[in-house]
Amino acid sequence: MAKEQFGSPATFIDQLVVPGDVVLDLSNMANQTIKLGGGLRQESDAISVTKAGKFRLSKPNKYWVESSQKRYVPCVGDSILGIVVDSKADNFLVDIKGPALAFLPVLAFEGGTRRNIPKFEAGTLLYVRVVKANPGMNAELSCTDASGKAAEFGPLKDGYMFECSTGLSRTLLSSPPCTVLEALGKKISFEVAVGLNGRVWVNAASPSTVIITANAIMKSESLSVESDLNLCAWMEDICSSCGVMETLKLLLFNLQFGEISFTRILNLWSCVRIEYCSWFSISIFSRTGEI
Amino acid sequence: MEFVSPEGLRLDGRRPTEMRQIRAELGAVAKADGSAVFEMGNTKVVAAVYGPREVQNRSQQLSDQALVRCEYSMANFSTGDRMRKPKGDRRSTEISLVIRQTMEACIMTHLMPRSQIDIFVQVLQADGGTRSACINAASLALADAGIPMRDLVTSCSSGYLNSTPLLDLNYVEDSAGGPDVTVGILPKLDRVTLLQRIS
Amino acid sequence: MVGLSLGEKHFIHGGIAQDLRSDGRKRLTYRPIYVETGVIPQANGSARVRMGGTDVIATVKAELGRPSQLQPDKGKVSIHIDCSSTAEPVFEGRGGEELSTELSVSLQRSLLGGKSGSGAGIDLSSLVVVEGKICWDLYIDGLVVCSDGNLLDALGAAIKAALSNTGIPRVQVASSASGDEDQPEVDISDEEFLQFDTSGVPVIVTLTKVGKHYIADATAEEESQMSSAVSISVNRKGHICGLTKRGGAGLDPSIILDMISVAKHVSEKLMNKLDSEIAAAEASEDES
Repeated sequence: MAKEQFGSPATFIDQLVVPGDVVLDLSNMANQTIKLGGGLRQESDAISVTKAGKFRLSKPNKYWVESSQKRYVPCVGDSILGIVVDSKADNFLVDIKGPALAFLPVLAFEGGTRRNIPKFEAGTLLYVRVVKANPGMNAELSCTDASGKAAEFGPLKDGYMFECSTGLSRTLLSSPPCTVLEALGKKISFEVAVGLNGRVWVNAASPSTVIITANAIMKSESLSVESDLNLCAWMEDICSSCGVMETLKLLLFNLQFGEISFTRILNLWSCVRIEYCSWFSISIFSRTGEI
Repeated sequence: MEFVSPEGLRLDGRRPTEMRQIRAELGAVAKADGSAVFEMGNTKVVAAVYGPREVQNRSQQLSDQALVRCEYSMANFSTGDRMRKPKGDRRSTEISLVIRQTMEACIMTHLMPRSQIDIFVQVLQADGGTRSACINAASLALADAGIPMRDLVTSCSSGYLNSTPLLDLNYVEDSAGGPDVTVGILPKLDRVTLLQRIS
Repeated sequence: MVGLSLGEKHFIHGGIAQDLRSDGRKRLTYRPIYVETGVIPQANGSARVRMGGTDVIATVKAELGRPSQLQPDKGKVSIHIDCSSTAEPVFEGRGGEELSTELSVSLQRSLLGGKSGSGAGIDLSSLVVVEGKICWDLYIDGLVVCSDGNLLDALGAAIKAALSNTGIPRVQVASSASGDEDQPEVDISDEEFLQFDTSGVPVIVTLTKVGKHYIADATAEEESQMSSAVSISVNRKGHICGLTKRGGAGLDPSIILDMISVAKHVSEKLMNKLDSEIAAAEASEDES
């Protein structure tokens, strides 16, 4: 079987790689120091990939594989959302979607002493920071930041939590701020807590707003930038109108003046479905046929 | 019975070294951490991976590497005649063991000590080469789950009928009684992880 | 798998009380249903149904057999469900047996009617070949590939779709067979098939009670909050073919009657939707 050419690193940068691909050949790169991030391992002179994803380079010498999974690998310094599973004498046992449960010491709170240990029931959602993460040992968490202040860490009340992939949480936390959050923020006021372990918590004034925001964020994973904006614009329509019938009437009205794009109609169409209004559907159908 | 015609065509029109058509789909099982559907001709297999997660049975926990568990089962309707027992029979147990050993060779288990990785493989349609399809599907499902692997495992079966070596046997050729071999390799590392001969 | 956090539980209960569920649906709205037929070419009929995250496959296999002594003019149908371990890690080994048995029995009750064969959704007398001697045995197998709530409805829909995709081979009975012979010779045609008539097959609607209200097509997280669930199978004429109640909480009889009327209403929409999806699936299968 012919061996593939693994030449200069430039061939693989920003490309999709699969486990086993050899991306760097160290024998060609003498006298250079490179830093390897996640998803890569070294085998004598070759650097090969262990996780499928995009191979990235951050100048001058940092290489890593950007991948997105459902499960989380604990990393020191990450802010994540955990759910309390059990409480022991010294620690709370917290599920963080990782290989093992994590420990949250009962004293790891701002001004925490033996006298004022918080009481968390099983099922409480917490926004915490990872302090220690050694492979094979349970990760250790804390509800304070590095200097000991509470910052925003601690239990999250009300709102709605949903799970997503680790790639989406990283996109949501990227700077400049991600398109979905920005576009939603222009029209809706809401609170969001993003955990790097693939959990996102959303809270807003009314349950319908929470659901719209949560669903918009969930669906944005598979959309590109332009569709992001379309989707958000459509969501605004729904939440500002009193109901589906009214929104459809709005659409029909705007259709007469040719303002609405075809994609927007398809979006609304697929979500409303025929059940809601038989005669509306016939009129929309005839109009979309014209466009 | 003639399995290779004088022109060199097999029963389904393939050449002796031609494989059946391959189709794969990732993420078919929404709830699993990683999943894949793999089709080789008419053989259709779905694999789901759950993990790495807490070990369910403390006594089986390994302190220096991840515990890899595998279960192979065939659906009732997967074969021509209806099967009575989808799992737990000797053939299923043996194939589960084979798949587990093959995948263990390629997963970097030392990176996740004290955790558990479950691989479940379900055969939806069996038309020869189920072992290979299962290994290919499990490989893809593990990659979909982001579990660190040394390389993807690829597998195929082959046999020898009418004095011709044939690649990727289907059910009719498999049950003809000639020898057949299933091979699993790590392509980039060029290593063989599975070699099984059934005669 | 970890359970829901407290905030989520409150959210689900509160949302349902306000007719707003976590994915934006109303209480009685079904998730989008995708139907594919002919997924298992080796079987006489097969279908795959996806309702949101729930993914099930149903197949129908027909074999020749003897009719039972009590009903010599009817064929036999048996339904068997298997929960694949790909759906949940707990289904590994024998873990899924309880749920499989429960689903099989509920489906048999809903689709096959009483012991005498009366009221069955499937017309069993169309399955007989030679009265008293040979009949078709239909084996309906269901496999749950991925479970995200509402398995019974999805399996019912898949069985309906698989039955409408089923082709029973035409059988020529050898004319030389005498009346006393035990097994007359039959010639099973490979070419001609009789399409099964599925207009009488009912759909199953499961209503799950969460708090004071009931919802149709619950997801797995909503099902974890349920107090009880009632599954009703309704056929095209609006008649009830079967009724099963699950869950520990007791229900007031008036609530059950209310649920039945709601189910009838919901089932009409579901039946129409299913029929159109099945027709579309068959059409696209013919094209490919």
